[in-house]
Amino acid sequence: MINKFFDGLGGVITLLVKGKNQERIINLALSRGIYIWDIKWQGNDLSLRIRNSALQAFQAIAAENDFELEIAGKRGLPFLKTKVQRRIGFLAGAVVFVLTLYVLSLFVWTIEVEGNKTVETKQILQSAARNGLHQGSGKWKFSCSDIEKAMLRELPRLTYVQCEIQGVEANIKVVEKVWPDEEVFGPCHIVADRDGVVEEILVLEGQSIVKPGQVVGQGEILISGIVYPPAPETSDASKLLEPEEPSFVRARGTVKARTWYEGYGECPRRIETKVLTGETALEINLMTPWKEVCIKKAKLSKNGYYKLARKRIAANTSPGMWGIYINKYHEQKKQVQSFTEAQAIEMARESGFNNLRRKIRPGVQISDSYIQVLSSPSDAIVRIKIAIESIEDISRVQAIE
Amino acid sequence: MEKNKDIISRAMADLLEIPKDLVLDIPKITLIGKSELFLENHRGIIEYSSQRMRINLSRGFLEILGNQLEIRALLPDEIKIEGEINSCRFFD
Repeated sequence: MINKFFDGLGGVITLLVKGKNQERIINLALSRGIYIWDIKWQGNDLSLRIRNSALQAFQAIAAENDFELEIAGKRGLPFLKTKVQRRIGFLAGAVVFVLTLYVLSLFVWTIEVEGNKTVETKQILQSAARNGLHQGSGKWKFSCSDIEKAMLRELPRLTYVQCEIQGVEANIKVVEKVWPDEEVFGPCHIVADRDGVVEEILVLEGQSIVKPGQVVGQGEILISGIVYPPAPETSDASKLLEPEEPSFVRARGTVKARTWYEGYGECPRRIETKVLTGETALEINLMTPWKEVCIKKAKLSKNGYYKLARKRIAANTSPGMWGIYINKYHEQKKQVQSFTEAQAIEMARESGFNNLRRKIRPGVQISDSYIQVLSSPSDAIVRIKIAIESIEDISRVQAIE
Repeated sequence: MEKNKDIISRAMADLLEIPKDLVLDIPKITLIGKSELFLENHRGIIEYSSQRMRINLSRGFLEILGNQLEIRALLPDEIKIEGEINSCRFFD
């Protein structure tokens, strides 16, 4: 192995010896200390290999003994030079490629943001960009620790920022602050969160103001946190006792009330929808800072309907945006669907319920529902008003000021 | 005279337990299967073809018969032959 390596360094020549009694040249070379290997017959010629440094000596022996030599092959580092000279364009291309790769690896091309839930990714990226980290920014222009500190200053909702550069990708890992729930400490009332009729009341602490069956409005006190001591019993009715001072407590308890929600739903009797046919057309555009060039144009019919899915691979560099836009057109066809009045009412009811569900708090028990059709049978759109009755806890804590 | 010298050298090699190929300048052959042959202490090639090879020794010559015989390496003292080796014969 090591011999082959040194042979490669010095260069190896494969020779064809022509003449008579070629064994003679082997013995002569051997006596002059020329190392020969891979000796074999190729037709009438003897093929052998020698080192590049021994070529002159071997040629001298061949000339002295009337042997004809033909160089069948050259291998090794000294012969690489001529090959390289012949392929100078290829070599220059390889050098340019390596240099370009190196230069491009000095910039950040993609930025990934992880760990954010409430803070928007766009906001984080903008903050990073303000501090020097954006697509196409040179790695030498910013320091990760400076960016981390600046981002923490700019985004108060973040508690931790880690900026890491891996190759041409920047990873920004963030941890958001968790705020404690807004709690009321100290004396408080329990008030109605919404209008309703009180069904059931359970007082754990405080003084009940309302009774079952009573109609209450939003914000009305249900359980008071101001507790008045019971009036002392006295036999002498004429003798007036001074009222004692009330105590302030933190009212606790639940108040279940019957509440109502109203919603609206509609459904057209005839719906025109667009359905995908499965046919697609592709359009590729090359975007340069100066011009947008269409590489491949999509073949679209004038009267057709298409849904466009756009994919963008772009990088922001100092002269402008570089990238490729791939537009994929999904062909669609029109489909008309007609409904009977009963079907339209049912669909409008479902739509109304879905709208209502957004207003109702989770866990609310629906006890009854009513539907009122607002439209006439000849109308193109069926409109309905939907009302639901529910029983829910309407208590809400309110501090005593 | 030469024969006496040879007898003395052989006796000395036996007495001192020295390998005879070092003392007596006789060939040492290593055959690996029938595909490779190493020969030490040769004196050059007399004849070489892909079926027959005659190698000069200090005394006589060695004839190797086979098919597709190739000299893989050739050094002043050593030779490595590859190919299908059928027979090796010594001639004085």
